[in-house]
Amino acid sequence: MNPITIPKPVPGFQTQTLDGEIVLLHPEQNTILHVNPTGALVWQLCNGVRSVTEVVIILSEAYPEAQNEIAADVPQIIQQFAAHGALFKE
Amino acid sequence: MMSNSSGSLLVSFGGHTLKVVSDSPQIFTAINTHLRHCPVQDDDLLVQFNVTASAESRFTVSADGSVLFPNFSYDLALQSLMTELISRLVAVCERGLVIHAAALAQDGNAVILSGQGGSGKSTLAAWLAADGLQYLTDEVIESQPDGELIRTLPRSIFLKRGSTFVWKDRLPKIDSPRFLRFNDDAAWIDPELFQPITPASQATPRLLIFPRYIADAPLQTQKLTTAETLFRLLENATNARNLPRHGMDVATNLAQRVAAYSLTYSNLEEASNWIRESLKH
Repeated sequence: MNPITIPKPVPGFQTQTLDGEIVLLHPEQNTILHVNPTGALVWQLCNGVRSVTEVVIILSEAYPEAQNEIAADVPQIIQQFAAHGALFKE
Repeated sequence: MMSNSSGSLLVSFGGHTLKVVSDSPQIFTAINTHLRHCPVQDDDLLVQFNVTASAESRFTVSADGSVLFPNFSYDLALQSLMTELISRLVAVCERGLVIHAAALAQDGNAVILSGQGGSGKSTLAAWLAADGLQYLTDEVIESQPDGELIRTLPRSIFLKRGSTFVWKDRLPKIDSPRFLRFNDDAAWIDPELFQPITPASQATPRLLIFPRYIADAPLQTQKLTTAETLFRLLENATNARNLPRHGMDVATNLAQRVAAYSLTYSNLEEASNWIRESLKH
């Protein structure tokens, strides 16, 4: 994934955060997603303004001991959100 | 359920009531018997079903004067009518979240077995009823908005052909109108035939199970997080579009009030033992 890609939430999702996990529901798309705590952090940072690189930087600053994993995982997680119709990639 | 001698009965669920009228004593007796535990509330009448019989023992089912099922066989007319009346009640429910689930109770505390058709919930419900739990439903529950109460539609248990072993193993007496066997070996069974415990139509939710039958699989259970529970409840919800936030808040309230597990099983006795033990805690 291009690091300057700006992931944008698809409009219309209902969200519920529970103990760090998130459930996303899109009634018109008939999509329901359960997102683990790592994915939930990424989802919350993808606000349609930040790029993939900026999301990686923010999480790496918060969790410096996991920088390498974050750099590898964030693009994959965003890819999964996009595959499930939850994020656009611009 | 309320009936009278002229062949009509009322059934309520989810804040609505419907009426079934039949000129066929055969159909009326079956419906009257297998919906007899269902409650009647003082709700607006949603729809009236009429069943008429022809001389050739064929049956036509109509709803508010419109023919739904013309000239059906006895088996098909009964099963189609049952499916239709539940669908109608569920489709308009705006009071609580309706979820595909069986449910049983002990001392007012309910175990909910949630899953789509084929997940084994009716079979497991029949087994648990035979093991002494109070039957609530094998089809749908309505979770009240605060999640503190479930209401149910306690029709008779519907066992498909693949579950005939349950009544063969666990029913002491099947020579009764309360055991209705269809030509394809499916059956409607009054839960009181398994154990003489009167079914109830509401209880406090305590335990939520998402069962999955896999042939020869060992019993496996996994505790679910609240978010995982919410996700699965929403997957099995049937009237979510009628509720604010598509039922997310009601489902969350229920998810937060129960202990929830996924359960994979092949042995009904093992699964029943585990569920009944878990319900005590």
